[in-house]
Amino acid sequence: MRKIYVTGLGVVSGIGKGVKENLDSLKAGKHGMGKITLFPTTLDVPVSEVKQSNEELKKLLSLPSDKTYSRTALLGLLAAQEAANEAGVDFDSPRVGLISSTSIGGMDLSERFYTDFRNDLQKGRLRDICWHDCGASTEMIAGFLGVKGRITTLSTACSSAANAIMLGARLIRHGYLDTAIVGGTDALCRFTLNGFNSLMILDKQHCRPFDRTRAGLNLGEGAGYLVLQAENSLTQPPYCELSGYSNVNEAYHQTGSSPHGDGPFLSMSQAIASAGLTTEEINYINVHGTGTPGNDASEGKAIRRIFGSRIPPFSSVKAFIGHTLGASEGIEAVYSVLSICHGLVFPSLNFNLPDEEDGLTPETKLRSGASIRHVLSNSFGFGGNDSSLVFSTLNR
Amino acid sequence: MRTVYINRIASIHSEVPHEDLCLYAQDPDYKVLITNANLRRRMSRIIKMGVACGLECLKGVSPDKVDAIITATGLGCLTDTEKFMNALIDNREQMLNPTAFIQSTFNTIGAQIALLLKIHAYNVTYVHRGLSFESALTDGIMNIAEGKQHVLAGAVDEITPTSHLIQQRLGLLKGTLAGEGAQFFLLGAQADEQTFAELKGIDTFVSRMDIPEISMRIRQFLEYCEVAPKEVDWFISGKNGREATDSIYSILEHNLFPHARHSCFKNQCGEYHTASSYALWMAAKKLKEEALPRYALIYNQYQETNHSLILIKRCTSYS
Repeated sequence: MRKIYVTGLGVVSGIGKGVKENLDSLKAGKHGMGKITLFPTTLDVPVSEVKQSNEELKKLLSLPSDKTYSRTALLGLLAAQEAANEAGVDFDSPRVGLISSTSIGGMDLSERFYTDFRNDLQKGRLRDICWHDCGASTEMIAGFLGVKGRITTLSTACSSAANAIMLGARLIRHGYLDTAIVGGTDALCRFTLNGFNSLMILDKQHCRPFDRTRAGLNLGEGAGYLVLQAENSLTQPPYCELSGYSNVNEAYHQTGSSPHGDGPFLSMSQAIASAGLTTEEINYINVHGTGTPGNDASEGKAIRRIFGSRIPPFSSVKAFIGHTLGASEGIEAVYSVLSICHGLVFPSLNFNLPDEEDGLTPETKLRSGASIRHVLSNSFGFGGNDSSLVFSTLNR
Repeated sequence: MRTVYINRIASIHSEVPHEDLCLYAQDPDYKVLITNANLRRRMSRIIKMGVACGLECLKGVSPDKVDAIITATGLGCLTDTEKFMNALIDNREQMLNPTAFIQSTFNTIGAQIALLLKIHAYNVTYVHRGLSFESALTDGIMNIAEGKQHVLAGAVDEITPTSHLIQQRLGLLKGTLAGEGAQFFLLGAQADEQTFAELKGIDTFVSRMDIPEISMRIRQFLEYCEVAPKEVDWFISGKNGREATDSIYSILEHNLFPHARHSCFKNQCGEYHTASSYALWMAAKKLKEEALPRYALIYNQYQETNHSLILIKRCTSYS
């Protein structure tokens, strides 16, 4: 099977724009949580916003200030462009594609449209609503970058970006593409904030993944993209390999996680097996670890089932950047690659007491100088859509 | 490409033209297909339509034999989205019922099929405008090439009063009829006694293109599939009543496929993001029922920027 190399990284999140700012924040233990400033709301919960306004993002991207773009598209373009530039992607080639994911598309603008529209059906600005569908941000990013090959968008709630990354790798392996820009983007909006609030899974305080007192998740926004390439298209030394992946469905409940962690168990074990590895070879797990009682219990149970008493270091970055939904595995895949390249294990912030049942303790301090050869990264979504990726060092 | 067979097909589509510029799909008796009454009551119409069509396609197939569930939708569960949006505004963000929010996510239909049949296999949802269904089929083809035996791939979109009005205001429905529907296909690595057709290839491209460019892309695609243009004896186009684009299809019919039978399908199913799934359903059915044609090529455009080609062949393995 053809090897899939990671040759470019791009990210924007609540802890920074660009790979360097994100890495610095992760190393310094600096989180991005704060009050909601992007839109008016009566909900008082912490969120991790990208600190740039839409106007600032347009300026950074040299886009006309008077044109309307969804925030999802702007965040996505910023990260995808960084990844593509870094990898030196040749956009003249028809074998360069873009696979993007989002859970919410242009809902930030649809909300604005709909408020006027529902009072008067002839009102509401059309330049807002035309960003509603998920493909709009993808085509904008592709058009701006000049992508000529295959383009598509997928959406599997919180595991969306993992599936975009996996699809890019498969399209290369099947010979449809040589280079795939893959990842996800999602902007915060009232719709999602209220959706998660109605499910009563938002913590009013800063989230505490895997902690005994955890009480829910915090939402975040951002985008993360990787450039994946086959060996014959490499123009520079790659960061690492995407060595394994898996997508399964838990088929347990539309939103809840199974108490025994059946979905996470399947997705992690299949991803490790697809990389041709044994469980002992995994050096670090970037867990989904949202901080909801249900997710962490289920994921913890699955980790115990797979790794037994030899559990590798693991941590959740959700207390840094929040749960960024359709962007989450895009951003966290970038972090996983950084973990391999810099020998780092990132800390789980806010952890104090292990859960009484699973007794698991994540890494709470930054560990550097570690030999990280294989990272397992999880993302699990509504609808039971569970996916895991494995990134591996080059000389293995 | 390894041969992929279309072994089962199912469709929920419009039966009679409607008066008000929309072709609404004819709802089947959902009770028969989705037997859990509580579950059925909670489902919005698009979810019922998608889930029922998926289940119909899998009728008689053991769930443990299904290796992948791949769905596609252009706009997803709009009724649920709008319902939650209204509740949010009306109730000033307080005491909201989460059901509509949960059901508004794009992967709801694929997830519900998996949940109902306890299928733990690969599961993904494509949401890319006029190429959503084609992306699902491409993934299905890759799954078969990876050694999977049975892959469910399908598409669904609904007309809601709001989406219809907005599309009208955006000018997307000029000269055409809005449509909706659900189509599902069970793809297989092997033919069986029920096989409808062979799926020979699929290609998609995103950009505004003129006729010479489109013709070139069609030629390249056929060459890749190792089929000569004159072997294509059925050319199915996405004509939708809009003069500017219908004339492009007519020129292609005349220039590239003068000897082929020419058909369109949007006069039956209407225009929607995943309407090409109806064309595939129609073509697969005909290839099984009639002695001719041998090859059917579907070329569809969505809003002049999304183009897709799907080539299918009469199945000879089991006749």
